[in-house]
Amino acid sequence: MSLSNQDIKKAMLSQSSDWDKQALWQEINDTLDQPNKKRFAWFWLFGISCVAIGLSAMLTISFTEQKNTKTVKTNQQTPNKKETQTTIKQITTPSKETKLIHSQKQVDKTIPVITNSRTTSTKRENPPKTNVTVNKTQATDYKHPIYKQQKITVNPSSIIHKQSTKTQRPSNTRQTVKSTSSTVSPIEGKKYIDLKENKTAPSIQQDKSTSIPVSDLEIAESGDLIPSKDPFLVSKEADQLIQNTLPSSLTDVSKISKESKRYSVPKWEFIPSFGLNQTIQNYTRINFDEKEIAKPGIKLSTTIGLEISRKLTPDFKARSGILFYTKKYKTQFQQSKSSAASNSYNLSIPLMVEYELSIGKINPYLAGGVGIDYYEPLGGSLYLLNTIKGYGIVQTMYNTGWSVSGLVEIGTHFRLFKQKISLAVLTDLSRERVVDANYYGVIGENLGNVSGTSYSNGNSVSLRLRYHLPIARKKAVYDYLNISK
Amino acid sequence: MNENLSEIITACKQGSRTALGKLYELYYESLSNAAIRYAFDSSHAKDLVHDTFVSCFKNMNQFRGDSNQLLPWMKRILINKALGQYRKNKKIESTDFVGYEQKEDKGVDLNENIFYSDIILIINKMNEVDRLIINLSIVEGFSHKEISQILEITEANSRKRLSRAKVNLIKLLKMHQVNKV
Repeated sequence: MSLSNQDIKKAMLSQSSDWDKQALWQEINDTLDQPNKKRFAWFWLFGISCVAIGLSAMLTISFTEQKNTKTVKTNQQTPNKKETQTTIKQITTPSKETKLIHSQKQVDKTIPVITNSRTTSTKRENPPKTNVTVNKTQATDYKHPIYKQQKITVNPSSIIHKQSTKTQRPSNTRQTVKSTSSTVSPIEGKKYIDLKENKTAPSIQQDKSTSIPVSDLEIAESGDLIPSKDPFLVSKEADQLIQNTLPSSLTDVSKISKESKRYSVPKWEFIPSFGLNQTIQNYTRINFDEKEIAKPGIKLSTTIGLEISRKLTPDFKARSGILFYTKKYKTQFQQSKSSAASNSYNLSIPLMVEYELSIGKINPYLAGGVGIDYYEPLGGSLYLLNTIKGYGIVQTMYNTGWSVSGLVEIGTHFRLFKQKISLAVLTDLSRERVVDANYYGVIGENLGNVSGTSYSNGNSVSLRLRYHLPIARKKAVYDYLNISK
Repeated sequence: MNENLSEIITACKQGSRTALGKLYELYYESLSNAAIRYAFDSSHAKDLVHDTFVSCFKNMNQFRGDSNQLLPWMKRILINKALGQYRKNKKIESTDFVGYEQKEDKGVDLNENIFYSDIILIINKMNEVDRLIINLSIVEGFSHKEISQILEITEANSRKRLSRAKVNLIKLLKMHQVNKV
């Protein structure tokens, strides 16, 4: 027996397949119509990045708020312990270095004492040699808004004046500080303050009701007192002042009357939510031989969300975040006796404005806005079983793309176990484009035709339960005060 | 024909699904026949054809040759896919070739009443590597150097395996003939 390579080659080439050529072509088309995985990955990456940035921003804000609250608390505690303490000791700062600088500032501004920079500040680099003059007139002009409201005039220079009268400071002392002068006190000829040992001026009495540390005011190059760049630095002292001057019923948030409770809403809120979503899909096929409208398909699915809200005014809030909800529906076309079923998900970025009312213990609200939606098939996508056209096959259709939806939400806030919860009904009105991938699936018959395009109005109503996680409560008192004005 | 094929290639590069349909019509048979030779079962062969067309359509922009080089390019993609699968599943045994038919095997008598179908049957029962070597060497015309690089074996090993495969094929054919009688 002889078997040449040619015989083997001929035998091998004689094989042929008996598969369904059209079915395979259909599979190829289906695969090509599948959403681009890379694009999908980029989308998720973008989404996750947005959420991460949002979270980090919120955490930063929260951290800053907490830090400032701690500082204010510390400042509030000090005068209770030692009422006769001087301004220098009232300012408690975390680090020694800062304390030293603060103290030096106090001495520089409040006491007409000439100090030697070498003995007081070891880490300061070349203190300015130019004379820093406190302009009395301009300093008097400065009034913090809160002080204005409460008719309390805060004038650092006038405070100094009061102090100087109390301590019977020599009349020939000036409001000018020279950094290059000697350390000798003009009163007794002794070393006046030893900042290294953290000693304070013994003779200065603190007027608790009106004093405000000058450290919260910065000295401009011209020598004028200007408000600190960080408004909170001023407000924390203002807070202290309010604590000391106003009745406790006003300053204590817990004692604020029920009517004003809604004003103590935190400025920033982090709102995770969960809900049930009812999709009502009105489906229309347009690009086919005839226009067909299906019966509305209704199915229940779930929705989860993560939002951030910010109070704009006492009544209005802005809200945004990310909502993820699945959309399911099954519908039937009357004309072609075909049916369609969809299983997709939507990622929506809502941009909403919320108006809140206060009726007794509940706070109903109305919110409206737009949502930027991305919809993508989940698992089975959209199937269309068309029996009339003779295909006799389940056709896969893909609804993938972007759309803009209108959002209307009605709900109410309430308290449950001291936690703020809200229950709302969100209506989402959107329009999606659906591509019928298999319209040209039958080779020889429909090859060359454009793909079938359909539109569906993917309206949905969802019942959402949301939990409000406060991020910052600090502004509550001021908000209340602003309103009471 | 070549002009038409050039137009189809250009249209495919622009993403026309119609053009891909025409390409499918033209090369379906060649590619499916090649897939049968390299696949270890019928569903794998189908997958190979499917993946080849999808890959070709997605990467048509990378095709720089003229219209005559398109089929070899597509075949090469198919072979690469088959070999990739082979590398993944080196232990897969060749079985289950149900569903194939012999288009020219209507009593074609080679030597001493050997039919094409008998040769194919025996080859399909052979070792995966031997089958690949027979395909690559005898059908596709690759040199042993190229085969050794593709299958990651030595050149001598490739040569030895081919000669042994042929000897085995003849032996098995003889046994098969005896059984038939």
